[in-house]
Amino acid sequence: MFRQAFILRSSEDGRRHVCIDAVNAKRIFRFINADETRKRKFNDVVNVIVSGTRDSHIYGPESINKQTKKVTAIKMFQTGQNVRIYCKEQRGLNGTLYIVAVELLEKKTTRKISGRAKNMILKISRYEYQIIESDVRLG
Amino acid sequence: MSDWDELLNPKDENEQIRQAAQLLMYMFLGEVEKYQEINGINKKTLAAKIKTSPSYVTQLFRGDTPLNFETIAKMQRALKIKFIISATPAVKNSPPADQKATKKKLTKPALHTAD
Repeated sequence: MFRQAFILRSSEDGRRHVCIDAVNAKRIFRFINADETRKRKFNDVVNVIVSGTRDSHIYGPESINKQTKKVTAIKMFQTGQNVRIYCKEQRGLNGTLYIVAVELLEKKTTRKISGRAKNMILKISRYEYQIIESDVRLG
Repeated sequence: MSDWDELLNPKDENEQIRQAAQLLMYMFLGEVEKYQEINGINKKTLAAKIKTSPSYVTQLFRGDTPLNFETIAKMQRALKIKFIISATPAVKNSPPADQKATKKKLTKPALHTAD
């Protein structure tokens, strides 16, 4: 079954889009919007993703096996809050890349991927998205 | 304007400049990371080559510490690479080509699915 995601920001050439899972949008928004430093960091990571710039310290694969290779993570504040936003990368029409921010893990407590995170990654790997281009987004 | 738009749009010129500066920094570091991998140089070795600590390198890559041109020059030397700089006129307020096309057509949300 398809889940829905809204486009948050697109690259200038329209080949890369950062999206947000419609079901979890509110929770993720509230968390980021609660703090100026979170807003700044989230914006920076979104800019990096949209521009196609590589920096595995802030965004990269969070795969645990072959099935989860399209699961990635936005990594913020590794020395403090250690926030992860797990994402699903999905190719659309003409190879356009959609990076959907799916689930928030407010505090990653271990260096390794915890059981809770593993379950999240496995669950996300099974998601398929319908990307909605709409001005009405759930904040 | 939705709440997300408000969160994602820089609220003033200073924030626009901060974000642009941060992205420039990540673009330099993205190239550094690429060549670290190609040359098999890990963070610890890179730090040693540029005479700094691994934690400082981590802070740079996380965007927590500003990157200066001296460090870029040291990284360039350590990795035996050369940054080639080019600039292009910025296109202001121009939505991506495919968005221009789809926005006109939309009367209700469009759905794209995976190939």
